[in-house]
Amino acid sequence: MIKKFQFREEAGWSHADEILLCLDTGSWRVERPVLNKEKCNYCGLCALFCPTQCMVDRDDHFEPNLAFCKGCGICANECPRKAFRMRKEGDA
Amino acid sequence: MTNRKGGLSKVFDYFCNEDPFAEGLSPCPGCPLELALRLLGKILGSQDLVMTGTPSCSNPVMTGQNVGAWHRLTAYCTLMTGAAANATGLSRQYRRSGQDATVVCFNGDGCAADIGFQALSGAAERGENFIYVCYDNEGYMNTGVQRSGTTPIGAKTATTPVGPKQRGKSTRRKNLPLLMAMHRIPYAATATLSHLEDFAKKLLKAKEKKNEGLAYIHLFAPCPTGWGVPTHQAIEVCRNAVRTNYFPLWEAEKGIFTLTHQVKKPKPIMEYTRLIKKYNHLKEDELERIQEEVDYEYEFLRHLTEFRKCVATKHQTAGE
Repeated sequence: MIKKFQFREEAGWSHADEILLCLDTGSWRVERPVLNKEKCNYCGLCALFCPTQCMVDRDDHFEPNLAFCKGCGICANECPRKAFRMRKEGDA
Repeated sequence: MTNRKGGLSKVFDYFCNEDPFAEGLSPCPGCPLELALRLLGKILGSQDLVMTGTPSCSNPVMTGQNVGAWHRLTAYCTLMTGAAANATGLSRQYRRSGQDATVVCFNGDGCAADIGFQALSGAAERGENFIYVCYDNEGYMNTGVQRSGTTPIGAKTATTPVGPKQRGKSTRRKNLPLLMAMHRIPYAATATLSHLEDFAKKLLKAKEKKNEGLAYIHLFAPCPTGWGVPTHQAIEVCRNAVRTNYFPLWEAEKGIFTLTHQVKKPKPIMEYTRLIKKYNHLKEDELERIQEEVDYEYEFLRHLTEFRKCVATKHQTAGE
């Protein structure tokens, strides 16, 4: 949790000390990344380049938080081992 | 500083601060701008960060809606014409009242290169103490992909269409980072989102150098929606821009240039343009024209980096 702001002056009209605004960006997704754990060597490039920064660290691999993943596919494209594959939403 | 785990790369050390943004933000899928905003908070830390921006794609997120906020940073939104002047006022007030703040003026290329250029140039000349980050998506993307001063030659936009009389933008782009470096400010640099360690280092260096005067960072951030790039290739476009020398990575401290990432075998510009739909109409001779522009700009930059040796030897002889 980030500490309360340290400055005396505050500008603007929005309050950040309560719950933040948040969109259901998971519902935008048409494709979802699926990880092949055998190929993953836990380099973390997917988590670095993920624009929504929604990759959750699971100690030996990263897992996308599908509640906020927009399905852009950058993780699948940037993975040097091609461990992520994009699957159409709705497919098994 | 570090809280990364064993197997992960050292790059993670730069991104150890907590993400100040909410999980679901409004930028389009795959937008490098969202990555840039989140990493900015992670690199600089949100405790002493004061953001100021202008109407742009970043603005809905930075300002908030009604009384709701998307993030826990301090942000202030102003007009494009006075973006740098506004940041001047903020940084001066924080300094005068003895508060240690990092003021970051986060704008698009439309504000930095066209509308707000006089304020930016003025702030650079006066040596104001803030960081100016320009994310360059080569056009006015938020209002519907119009051309701007940094739109490259041959690019198709809403106001430079492709038809019988015109084939994309007919004039060359403004090299804004070079212009800013020519003010001989303490720090001017180019960065992109495929080279994250480089970006983080430059931001931290800018934070240090801003105590001497304006620090300027030009961040190359493609717009998947406006350029016609598939969302998953946004980072690849950044990487190919560096590899083809279209967007070389360099830094300049008080007019002394250094290349921070030297490309050994630059690829032909085709490697970059083939990924992007706004260049789809280009024929062989037009590609050659773009290649000439790129070669010229890179060669110019290379000569500037060699200038450093001349200065060094001059200082030596003066010392003797």
